[in-house]
Amino acid sequence: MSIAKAPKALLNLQKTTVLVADADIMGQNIVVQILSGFGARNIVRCEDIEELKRQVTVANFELIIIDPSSFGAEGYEVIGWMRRTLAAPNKHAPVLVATGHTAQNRVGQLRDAGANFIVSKPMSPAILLDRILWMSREKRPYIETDNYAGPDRRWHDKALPDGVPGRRQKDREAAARIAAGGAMSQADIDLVMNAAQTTVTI
Amino acid sequence: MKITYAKNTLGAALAAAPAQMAQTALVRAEDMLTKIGDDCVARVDELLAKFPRSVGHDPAENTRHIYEAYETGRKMIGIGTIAGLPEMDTVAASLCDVADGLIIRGLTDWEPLRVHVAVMDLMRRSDLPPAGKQQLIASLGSVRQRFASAPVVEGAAELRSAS
Repeated sequence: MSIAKAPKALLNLQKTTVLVADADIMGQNIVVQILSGFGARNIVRCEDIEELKRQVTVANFELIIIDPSSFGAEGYEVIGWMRRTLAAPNKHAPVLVATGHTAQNRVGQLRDAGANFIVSKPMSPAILLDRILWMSREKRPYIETDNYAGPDRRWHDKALPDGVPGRRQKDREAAARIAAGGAMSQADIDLVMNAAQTTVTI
Repeated sequence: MKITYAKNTLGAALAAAPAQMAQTALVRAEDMLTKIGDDCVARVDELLAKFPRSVGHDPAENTRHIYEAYETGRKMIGIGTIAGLPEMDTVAASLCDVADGLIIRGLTDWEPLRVHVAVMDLMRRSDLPPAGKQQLIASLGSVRQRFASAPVVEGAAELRSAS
């Protein structure tokens, strides 16, 4: 069941500053109307990449919604630019990509852009609400490598099948601790669960 | 590789706001969208008017038309549904699939796009019953199957428009 349909789900964007980037004004209007219905009062609109870059360097955003296809190649590159160039908190701001159509030669770029979520237009209020709630609860770490910067693309926190060793450093460390007769330490749990920013370089 | 466990600022902003039921937010958002319904109808018609109706056989000229048609179709997707014309979104998405396929293969045949534009014109200018609209959309399936860049998944367009 979607989160939005849960009887006790709450959503109010009154305290959320949102950036909406779409080169097409009507595309912007649709998203802005939906966000206003959700209670948003602080919505910044951008219809070109230069303005978007300026905005994210002068203000903090808790949510960024962008249609990269409306800006051409630059629209895909700007998400990676934000992830690599900006300082926190905008560097880690949730980015929702809302796209009408993605050309085949852009699919790879879109996948590697560093967005938290990708939704297809037409976008209904229910879909947008559901994705916002998902992102508000996300605990995925941000990964920065030579060729990717963005939320960890290993999506689900499911346990690995029996007998399959984890490939990440964290998996190996946890496996070593468990093999030594210990469970996860509170520090390990805090590392994953806490809200404060923590950076680990491997 | 650098791993950062960042504070979820969106979650914090939502937690700081007064409580509002998600269902209430949804109803308000739908209300807000109805306010721009007429603007969306006008925008759909404005975009529809941009598609060329008569295209010759000059490959360079046709390539330009195909690129422009792709851009126009892309802009239409999402607006049709708010305008109360979800079938226009479906046809626009199909047009983009086909135009993208033509571009990738270097084809300059306008005919696959002409039939899409003709279907859009029919949907806007006639009082077609829903079943007639569905038949028209279904008739585009074989064109899409032949020219689209990615394999066509049965019912994908309908699913997309329903979401």
